[in-house]
Amino acid sequence: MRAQLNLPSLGVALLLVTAAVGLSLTVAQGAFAGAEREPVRSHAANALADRLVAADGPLAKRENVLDGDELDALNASQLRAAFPVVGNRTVAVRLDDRTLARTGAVSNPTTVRRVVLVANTTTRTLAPALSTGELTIPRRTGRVTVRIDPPTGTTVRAVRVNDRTVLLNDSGLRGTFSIRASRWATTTLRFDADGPLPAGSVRVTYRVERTTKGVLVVAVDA
Amino acid sequence: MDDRAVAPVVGKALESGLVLLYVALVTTALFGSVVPHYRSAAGAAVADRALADAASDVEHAIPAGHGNATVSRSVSLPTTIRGETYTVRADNRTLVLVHPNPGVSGRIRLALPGSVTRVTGAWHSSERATVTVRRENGTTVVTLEADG
Repeated sequence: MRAQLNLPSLGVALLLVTAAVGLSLTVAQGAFAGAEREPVRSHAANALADRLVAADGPLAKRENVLDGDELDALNASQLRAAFPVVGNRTVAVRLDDRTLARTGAVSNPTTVRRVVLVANTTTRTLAPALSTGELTIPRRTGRVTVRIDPPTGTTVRAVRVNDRTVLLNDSGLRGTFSIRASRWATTTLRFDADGPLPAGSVRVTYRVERTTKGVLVVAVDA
Repeated sequence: MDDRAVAPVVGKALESGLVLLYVALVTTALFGSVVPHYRSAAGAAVADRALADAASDVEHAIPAGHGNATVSRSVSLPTTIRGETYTVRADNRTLVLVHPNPGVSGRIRLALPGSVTRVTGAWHSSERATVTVRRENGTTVVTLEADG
């Protein structure tokens, strides 16, 4: 039976090979786990962030400029409806530290950040007494609404914006007019009147957009 | 003492038998379950990545503005996943990957502007894939096309 002494050493050898195979499989498993990414989820996060800041998006005024009022009104169901890419995922949209909308609790999300401007529009009205007939609007704006209501005996014949005649009526202007102005130049209105224009006879209303910087954070969970 | 010469023969036969049995066992275990499992796992991961890339390509093909425009853009898809060709088709603003192996599949929602009217067409991975966006008179149609 001397020849069968080889059997134990063969057993040990096979055991070693088995251990080597097991070890390689463990290493392969680890490599797989290490290379595991969530491409579909990160696509959802990136695409949602892109849609939020896109010029034709429902919240944006211009590219990368978000409407402050729309942001305040945003909620989870609106987010799902306006951005179908959200689907059934858990999504949180924050502006700096303020949560704008959340469809659930995000625990281990893919997060995408975008630097944005948040625009808040306010309406201001000026109605000073015009001794020189000139009024310079303190902020640049694209559109000015002018309400002309001169006192009896005074006729406003024309309104000029930066020496360009925009309204003209020889028998007198009266009522509310909308005037286009340039956002790239300071607007000076000039009223051609044949009498005094006391306070309130000309009311100028314009919209002022104030933008603040912010970081839009989109967190998308599974 | 007549059977003394038999002992080494029996020994060698026993050893080679054991080795053969072992090799057969390991081979069956590896190729029967471990390797296909890994191939499917790798295939599923590649399918997800291919879909995500294709979805971004489609989204970036949408032209800005509102005027009439036609945009064509080529999309790179891996020719085979898990050794076989597959198709990607559009289904209600979703890209769906259809693969002959049931372990490999995927779907991804497209993030498209509201102006996009519909998404149609399909790609087969053995052909060159392009996405064409046609915007005419306010309707925008995204078509997945194969050419060449």
